Amino acid sequence: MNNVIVVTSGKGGVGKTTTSANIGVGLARLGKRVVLMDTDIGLRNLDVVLGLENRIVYDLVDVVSGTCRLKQALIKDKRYDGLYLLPAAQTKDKNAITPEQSKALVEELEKEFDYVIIDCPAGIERGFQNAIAGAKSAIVVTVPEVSSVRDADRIIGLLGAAEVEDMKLLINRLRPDLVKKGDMLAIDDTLEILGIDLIGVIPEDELIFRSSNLGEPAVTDDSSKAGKAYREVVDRILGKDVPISTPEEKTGFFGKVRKLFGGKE
Amino acid sequence: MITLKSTQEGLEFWISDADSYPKIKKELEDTLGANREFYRGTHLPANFFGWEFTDLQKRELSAFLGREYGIYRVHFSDDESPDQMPEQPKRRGRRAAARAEEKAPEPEAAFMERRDGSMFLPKTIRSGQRIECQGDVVVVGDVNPGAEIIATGNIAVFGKLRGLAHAGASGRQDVIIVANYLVPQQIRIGGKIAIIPKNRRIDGPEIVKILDGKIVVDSLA
Repeated sequence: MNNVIVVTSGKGGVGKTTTSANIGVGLARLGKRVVLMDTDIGLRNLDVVLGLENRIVYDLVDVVSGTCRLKQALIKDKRYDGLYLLPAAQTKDKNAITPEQSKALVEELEKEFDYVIIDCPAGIERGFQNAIAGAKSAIVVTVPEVSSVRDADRIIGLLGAAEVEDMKLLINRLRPDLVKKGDMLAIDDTLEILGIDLIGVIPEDELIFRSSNLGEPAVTDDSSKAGKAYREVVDRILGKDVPISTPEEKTGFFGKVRKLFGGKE
Repeated sequence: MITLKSTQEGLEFWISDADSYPKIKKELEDTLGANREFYRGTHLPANFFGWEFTDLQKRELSAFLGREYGIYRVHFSDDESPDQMPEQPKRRGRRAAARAEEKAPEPEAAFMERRDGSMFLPKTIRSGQRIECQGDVVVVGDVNPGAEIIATGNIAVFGKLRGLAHAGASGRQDVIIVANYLVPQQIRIGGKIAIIPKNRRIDGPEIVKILDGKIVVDSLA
């Protein structure tokens, strides 16, 4: 994928911010210089998920309005070399910046960093237009339910119209047991409707809640299934050919015993 | 006589050889009558040229077009007072206004394709996209849920029809809809609306038409 990636979904609450944080941290862990740009002005979250909220002095709107220099607003994440956050303003709204200003800002960031990851707000209005203005690639996040897939479809149409042609789909919060029962859309059904390439499938993982609340993205956690899936997504962004591992069903006690004795799952 | 022109800036009505307001209104109904629902929701402005309407007539005509045809932005060429019609000054100003509009298109505008004559669309039509056509529409791709195809003629979908298709939108009943895989949200032909049952067995391409006043689905094979 290209070096400027917008993470978007249309629908809220499907995991855009979690995905942005994990991809950003994942890339930084592999030695890339990464900036995470939060464009959700008025409802900023990315700082919280990264555990950087109490270090904010200046924000994106301050940079655009000339209150501060770009470097002053960038917050360095001390845990990972090369990871920076450009936080959104919390006390303004989406109209505080224009798509043109946003694009100019991205072009500025692009000079300094290997990757610019843009966390897009929900909706298709001004905030969305701001977020995609400078993007060259897009990761469309959806959860396996009909309403989310419908919104993702709309977003794909809008991205195409805005000439962001390089789009990849990320299916989040998949629960294999529900898919098997027919209560959740299967991966194939989702792909069939949306018709774009898959970049990863993230299984539902309770550890995500803990990691979000602690401000430590799951991608750093070796015991987390979601973290492993995010590490694979990061590899694919870097152009590595990693097969997509679809989450399996829980094997249960007897399955584990059988596995222990070398049996098949 | 009224000549209707469809331009980038909207609909233009050129009035010539008219003698009275009632006659103009009658002719307008004749001109638009065939496409009653066609302009609704398109947000196209209408511009009148070649006739001096009184203020009362202007109000009446604007209300009439809004109510009957869904045309809500009505302008008159002799309207030159800038505070009355800020977006519609004189001839020269009008072009400038149109350019300004191009720069900041409504988000919807990019998503609406509206054309006269038949359309061939080799792509998937996605949620939120609306295709309107005075003629036949052929889609080579899917029509996803939340997408709308409105045609005055026939509709053919070489793919899955999951959204909404309205053939014969001007009232024609002798039109058909065909799809490789017919699972639409809704089907409309002329003034009739049908919902196709979910979870039915589909064996291949199907055709939808009106038979004895009812919408029926038949296998194409």
